[in-house]
Amino acid sequence: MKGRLYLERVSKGFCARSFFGRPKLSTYRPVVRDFSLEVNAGEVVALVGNNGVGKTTILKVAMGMFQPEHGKAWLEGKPAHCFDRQAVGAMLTHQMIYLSLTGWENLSYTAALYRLPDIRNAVARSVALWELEDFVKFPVQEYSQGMKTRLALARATLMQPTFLFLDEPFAFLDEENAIPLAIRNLRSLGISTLLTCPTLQQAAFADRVLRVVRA
Amino acid sequence: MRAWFIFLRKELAVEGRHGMPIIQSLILTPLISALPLFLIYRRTYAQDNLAASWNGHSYQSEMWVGFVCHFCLNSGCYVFFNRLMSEWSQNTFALLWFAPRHRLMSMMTLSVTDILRVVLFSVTFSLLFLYGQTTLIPFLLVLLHFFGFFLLGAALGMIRMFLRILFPASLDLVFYLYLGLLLSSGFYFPTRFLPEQFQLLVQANPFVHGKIAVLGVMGGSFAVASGLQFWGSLALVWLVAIWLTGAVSVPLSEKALRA
Repeated sequence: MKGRLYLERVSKGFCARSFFGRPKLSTYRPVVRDFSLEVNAGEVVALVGNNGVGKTTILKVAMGMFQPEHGKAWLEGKPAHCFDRQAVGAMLTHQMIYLSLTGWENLSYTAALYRLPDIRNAVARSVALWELEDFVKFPVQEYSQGMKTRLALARATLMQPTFLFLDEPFAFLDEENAIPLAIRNLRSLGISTLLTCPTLQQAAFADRVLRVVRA
Repeated sequence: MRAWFIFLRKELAVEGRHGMPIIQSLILTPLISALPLFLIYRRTYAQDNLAASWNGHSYQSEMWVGFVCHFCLNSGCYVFFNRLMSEWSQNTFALLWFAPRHRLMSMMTLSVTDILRVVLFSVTFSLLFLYGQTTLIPFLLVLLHFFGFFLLGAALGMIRMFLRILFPASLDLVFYLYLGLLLSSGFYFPTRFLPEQFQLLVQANPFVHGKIAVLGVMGGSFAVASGLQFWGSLALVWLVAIWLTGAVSVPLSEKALRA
């Protein structure tokens, strides 16, 4: 079951909130309805669609961050909310990196959190893979947005997970170097991946591309 | 061990990536905290017969012990709470949440500087105390109780943080509970001055029992019942904190992430 994701007729919607935070049930809008998906080991699947059609919601349901209202989500052979945390890497819209730390310190910290046995080598390997050598000793607050994205990708793949969730991973990357590098790395790592992209062009490298439309 | 060194290094860098904030955080703060306490002790009690002064009924001894207890509680409660909330607002909380460590341990990694600070404070204070006084075991017992107050504050801070994150629309009830416990603890004024209706609240207050235990040790007679109530309450509060950390999973994290 390693590296497999299974979503069965998943539905999820949201409500507007009152000033005091109460959900206004009359405003309920389904974002994802009866969505099914199977990702096999080593497969890269891209979700493509306009803004607001529910790509990120599907990703978060698959990661167990959102509980679906209907349907089932299974990741690595377990319900999505209790997956093996060692086996899953993620890069969400907020990139979960510390601005006052250097790139190296960010990666070392993640390696320590994930109990990697040889932290120094793991970080060095990841830095080389994502070509961060020139920047890795600087504080992240001095990085451009594209460099932050590359660092976040390095962080997500550092622990060599069996499943990877990426929310718009190419958003700030340049088309000439960084996107080809990211694609090359994602392909070479052989990790099962579910990612979201706004355009078909960016998703063309995936094994399967699913177009998500408004529920 | 290397991992914990990395956690410490990260915490120091997050607090302030400069020489002075690090010196302030690790050296000056414990020293500045310990020195006045020692001076108060020296000025007020060291010249007297210790056992006679620390009888637990003197106004001065109650106030002095109350001050230190409050200091330890606040160190645990606010520092830990603020650190966690800062991770939350920086959007780095999810990194800790999804790390394959026990979530409680992940949270504890945020407190390595605070724990180190408390250790340095305790060592400094101990050295100063032992310089002026010689009875070691009662002193260690007192220090243990102060550490207990720190842990009690930390657990309350954790519960407060989780409830704030998971139920953002609700009142900050733990804060009011904390405030009530402080006001009826006798840290600011002896509880015997409180109206009779409040005496029941005073009896149920773990802070009061912790303070009585400390005063008892200092007076040469350990109040076993109060000590048991204090440490029992501490265990209970930590159980709640651990339960909130561990059991809060899908439905609550969903709310948290949406908030």
